[in-house]
Amino acid sequence: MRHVCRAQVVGWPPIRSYRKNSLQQKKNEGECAGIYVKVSMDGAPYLRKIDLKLYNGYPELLKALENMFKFTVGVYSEREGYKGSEYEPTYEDKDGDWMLVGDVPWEMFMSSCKRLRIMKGSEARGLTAN
Amino acid sequence: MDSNASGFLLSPSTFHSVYNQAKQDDGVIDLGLSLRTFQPEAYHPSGHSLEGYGDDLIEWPETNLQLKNSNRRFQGLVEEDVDEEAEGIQSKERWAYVKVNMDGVMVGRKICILDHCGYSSLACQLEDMFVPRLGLRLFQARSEFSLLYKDGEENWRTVGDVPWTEFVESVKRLRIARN
Repeated sequence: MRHVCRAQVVGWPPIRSYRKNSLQQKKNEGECAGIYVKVSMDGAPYLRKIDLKLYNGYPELLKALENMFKFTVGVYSEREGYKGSEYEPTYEDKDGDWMLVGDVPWEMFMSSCKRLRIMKGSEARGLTAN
Repeated sequence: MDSNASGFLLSPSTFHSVYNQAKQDDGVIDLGLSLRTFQPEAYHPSGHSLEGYGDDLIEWPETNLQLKNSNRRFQGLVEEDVDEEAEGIQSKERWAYVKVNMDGVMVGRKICILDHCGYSSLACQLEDMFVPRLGLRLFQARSEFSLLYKDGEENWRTVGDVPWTEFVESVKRLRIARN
């Protein structure tokens, strides 16, 4: 009977050194990992993804969304939400609830936002089947 | 408590908040829950700064507001607050954001309970946030809506059933329910 050596073959599959280096780099940069969330917009054909860490606050984020989806978001106020636009930026939090973007401090938002949805005002504000 | 009364109720001239305007209906705010007040208590929107009020501002919730506005503080609190965030409140000690949902409305809002010093100012904010969307007065006698809250023991209760300070300690989220 032929004895087949089952010793582990080291270094297989072959991996180029630059990939090895980048994998190590990613481990080192774990703390700086981005917060990627999906962004959808009512009526848009496909979703996008953004890194929340790229923005310093709500104005920057909203500006980026406006550019991405070619719409205007309106002016935010605590009292009236987003006024002057038929669209409202909303987000799904870790509990699965949909909340209006902008009510909580930015860092709090970043830690609780799971995904974004730019909702058409009629659905966000009006009465929907519950 | 009486000694603090004069400092507690800020005079309208020192307060820029829209919530201090005299109500046309002689100052009565009826939640429809047997809760009435004849004077709108000071409402301080979380976006406004505290500059200019100096020592005249009441002791509470000033401290909490300053902590709330410090983002750097919050970053240090993120990890330990993960469980409570699931209930809609970030650390009770420094932040008190609660979710507010209204029956039939898909998108909820978040408000900071520490912005308020009483039920009437809370009612004012909720009316402003939710009523325009419906075009009718929310809190009035025989209203078709009730304001409920979820307490620390996961029970849904009627807002106004306990003193304000006790409410602030126990409220986890709010709901405007159709009767």
